[in-house]
Amino acid sequence: MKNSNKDTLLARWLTDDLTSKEAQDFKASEAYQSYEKISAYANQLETPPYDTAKAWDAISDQTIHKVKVRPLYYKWATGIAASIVLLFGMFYGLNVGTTTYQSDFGAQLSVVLPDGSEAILNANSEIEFNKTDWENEKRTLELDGEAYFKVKKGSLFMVKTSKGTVEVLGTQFNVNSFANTLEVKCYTGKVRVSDATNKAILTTGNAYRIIDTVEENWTFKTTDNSWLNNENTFYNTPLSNVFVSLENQFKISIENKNSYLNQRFTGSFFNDDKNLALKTVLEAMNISYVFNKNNVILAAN
Amino acid sequence: MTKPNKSVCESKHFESLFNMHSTLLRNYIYYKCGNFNLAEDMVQEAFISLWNHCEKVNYNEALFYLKRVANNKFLNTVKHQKVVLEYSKFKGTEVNNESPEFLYEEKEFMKKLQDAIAVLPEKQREVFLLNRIDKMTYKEIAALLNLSVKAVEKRMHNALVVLREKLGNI
Repeated sequence: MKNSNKDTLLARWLTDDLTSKEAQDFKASEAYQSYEKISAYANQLETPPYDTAKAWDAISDQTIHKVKVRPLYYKWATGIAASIVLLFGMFYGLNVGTTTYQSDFGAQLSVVLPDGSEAILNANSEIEFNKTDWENEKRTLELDGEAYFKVKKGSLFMVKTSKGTVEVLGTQFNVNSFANTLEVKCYTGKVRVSDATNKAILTTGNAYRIIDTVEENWTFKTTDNSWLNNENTFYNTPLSNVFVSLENQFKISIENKNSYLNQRFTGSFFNDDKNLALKTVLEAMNISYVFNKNNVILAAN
Repeated sequence: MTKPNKSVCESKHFESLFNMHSTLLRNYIYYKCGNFNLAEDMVQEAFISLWNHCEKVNYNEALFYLKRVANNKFLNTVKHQKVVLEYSKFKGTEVNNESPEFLYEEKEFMKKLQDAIAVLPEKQREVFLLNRIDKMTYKEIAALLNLSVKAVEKRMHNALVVLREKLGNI
């Protein structure tokens, strides 16, 4: 920390933000007088006057005094649009002005975000964001499900889930969110994960999971297969989450799962074969089942 | 529920945004290019753009929008011109009773300082002048330029180091 303070010393001197030792040493230094002089003269700098009245005239001519061409139906349209939105707002909690992307069951969806970053959604997942935020360099979105992000360098990029928040500055990472679990894998760069009680910073190859208030850490190889290569992989993952992944991928429903939810699964299933996937997971966990059309019924535990 | 924002599309609010932000914006662009006409043109274009997108911009975040538009337009114009910054006439540091020689020395130093500032790397120069001329705090500069306060302090510190090196022992 000491080293990093040295390279802001002069800036902090100008705002009287030095420790007493720093101030003492600086005042006694050879360079002090020079800096004093530079600061004193620089303080007197002013830019030449800006004729703002003239500038405003020019601007107002092209803006407020210019007749805006609006569609004929504008006036009454706003009236009706407003009341319709209010109605939906009360019933569905709809956010006006948000953009939503949702992937189908069994499908992945690639989305280019307003700043050029990319979000790849796994099956049955959704992201939602406000375009105006992004125009103002506030890169925030909400995620429900699983997505892989390739974030361009820029302002703080935030992914909010019901469980917690993931923040990055420019990197690639995977977020998997459930009701009370959040799992994040960092592929490149640095990611910060936080929820009500916990906070963690991940770098390349780190994975992190919060289940309720319990944290888990492990490392993974960024070159390993993942759902992006159509192989959903799991490491010590609660079965409840694996079941959700199976349901999302194959659009099936798994019944009688309550007694198995907390068991952990390490392994993977491929996206192309429903039967094989179920077999892989359930046989590995020693769970008998019956598979009928789109329903999987697990044997009682 | 958030309280209703002032609408940028209303003339009186738009005008007050101009009054609040035009000088800073013009100075900021000026620090980057050293050309008044260009800076004032960029400010004009930025405000016109703000008006044309008024529904989409939050009143309280207008400055960031303006800065972004002005920056983008600036990047698209001719860069790499030699930056020669002009300032208000410097009348010396003391008011009366200065010998002509002393006044001359002061003006000489001021000129050297201004020349040195003009050749600072753009990133350092803009932070330095926003702080010295526009009296913006490091926190405000950080918000405007999308940097951490630490980054702003570093640029400020480096600017001073470079200036002192250029001006020699004084």
